[in-house]
Amino acid sequence: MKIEKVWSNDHRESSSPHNRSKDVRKGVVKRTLLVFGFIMFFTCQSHAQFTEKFRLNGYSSFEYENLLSNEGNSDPNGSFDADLIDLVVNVDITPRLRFATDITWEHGTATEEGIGNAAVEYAFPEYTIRNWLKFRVGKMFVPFGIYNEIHTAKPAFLAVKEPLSTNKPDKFGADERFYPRWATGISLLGNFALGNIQFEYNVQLSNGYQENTNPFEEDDNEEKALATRLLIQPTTDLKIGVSTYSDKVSELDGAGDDTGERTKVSSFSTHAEYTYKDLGLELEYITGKTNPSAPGDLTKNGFEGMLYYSLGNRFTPYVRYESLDPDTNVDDDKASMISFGLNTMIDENYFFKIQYNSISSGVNNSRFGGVDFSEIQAAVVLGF
Amino acid sequence: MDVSIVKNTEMKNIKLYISLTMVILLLGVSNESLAQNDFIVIVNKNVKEESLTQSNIRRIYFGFTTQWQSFEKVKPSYTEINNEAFWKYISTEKGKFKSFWTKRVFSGNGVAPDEFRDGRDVIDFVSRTGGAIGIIPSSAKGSIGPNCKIVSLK
Repeated sequence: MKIEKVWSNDHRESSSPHNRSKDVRKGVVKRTLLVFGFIMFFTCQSHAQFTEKFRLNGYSSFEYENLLSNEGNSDPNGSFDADLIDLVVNVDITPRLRFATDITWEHGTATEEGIGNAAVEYAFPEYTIRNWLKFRVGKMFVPFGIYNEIHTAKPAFLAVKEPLSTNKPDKFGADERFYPRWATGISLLGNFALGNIQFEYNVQLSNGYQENTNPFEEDDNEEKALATRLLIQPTTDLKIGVSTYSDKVSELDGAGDDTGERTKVSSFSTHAEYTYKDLGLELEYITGKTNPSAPGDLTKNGFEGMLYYSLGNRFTPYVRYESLDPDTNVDDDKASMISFGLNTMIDENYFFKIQYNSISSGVNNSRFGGVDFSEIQAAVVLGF
Repeated sequence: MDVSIVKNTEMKNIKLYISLTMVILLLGVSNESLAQNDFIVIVNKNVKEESLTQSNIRRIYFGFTTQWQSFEKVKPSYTEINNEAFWKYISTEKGKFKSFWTKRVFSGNGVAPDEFRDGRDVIDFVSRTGGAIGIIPSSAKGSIGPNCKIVSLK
């Protein structure tokens, strides 16, 4: 129709058939270019706005583990593990409002086969009133110590895995972790400087840990968990942190019903990260107490220390020592591990890690039972 | 050939090598001193701030300051290469800066500054993005358009 109209309009002004067809082509080309121009203009505008507001990052990890000793709690088959893929999305909705989420698929997730794990690591809007006052609501990492917020983000730390003694004590002989990985609730956080000293704080109120309901949907009691962390940076090379976690957990009877009694859980940690030129040191100490309504208080202590040296920003050898006392009232239940590793940056944000671990434990350690062993771990990790 | 002529020629060559070495060394030193001031900080024309301190810049690039005085969001950017003077200025190194942001982004604690190939790309980004701030090499000063302004460093 448009072509016919163009033709009929041009027909009045054109004298020869040759000129007429030429003018028709010109008209069609003009209009096509105009429409294309409009599409390009609006597409580029919205694309620019979209890319400025939307940011996609992520990481993946491929791992290998092999027991070197004749016996021990490690992988005797030398298995490969498609450990995880995580997508991290940030959307700047307004100048004050940011939405952040991290979705993970672990161990080659295939829901039809019922294997692997898919999870929301965190999903929250963050509203900034001032740099020193921000609010988050949703599912978040519990802000605790050096590692909890980056425990799955393997490109964000040197070793193959985060330290077990402070981050996964249940894999090192303790009954429970010092604090839950995630929490649903409200966070108040921010940062400020006093002179040259930088401070960052985070106060998080959440449902806390529970076994009989989904803690990210419903609280099973009126008690709320409180997590706090203060990070102090006196110089650019030194960061010191203090974290606390407290909650009162419902005690359940044999049928899984709430008895009305509560177990008080509290943890405290202090950590330091220091770099001097290419040399780095990190230390973390954590203590946790569990006080049930009945007698049977339990105290556990964990420690990790790591020393590393960066060679030309490509090769970083490290040595790490960690230890855990799962119950200070029980003798001969401690476990410790010394690790020697090398982190190699193959390309930007693409790393190969290899690590030798030597684990020793007391006979009363519930995980290792006094069987000393060594293992080798390796990983190829990518961040983008 | 006369031995004295050969010796004179060798001496001349040695002097020439020494002179060349001195010139290269001097050039190296002057380049090093030039590198201290070899970047410019630009902001989008709508940003009210006219000057910034070293501490301001550091806080912006480490994600601690996320708002301008007008509460507009700060959107930092920099060039991927020839930025050594800037890393020194904010008391870090490229590797440490990237490592810091890897942790920050993956833990949900912020969005990393935009990294561009060269100064012109930074200028383009700052020109079209409200609240943007960019670090460019001094050599790219001539490419700054009307939608950007240079902020002075206090």
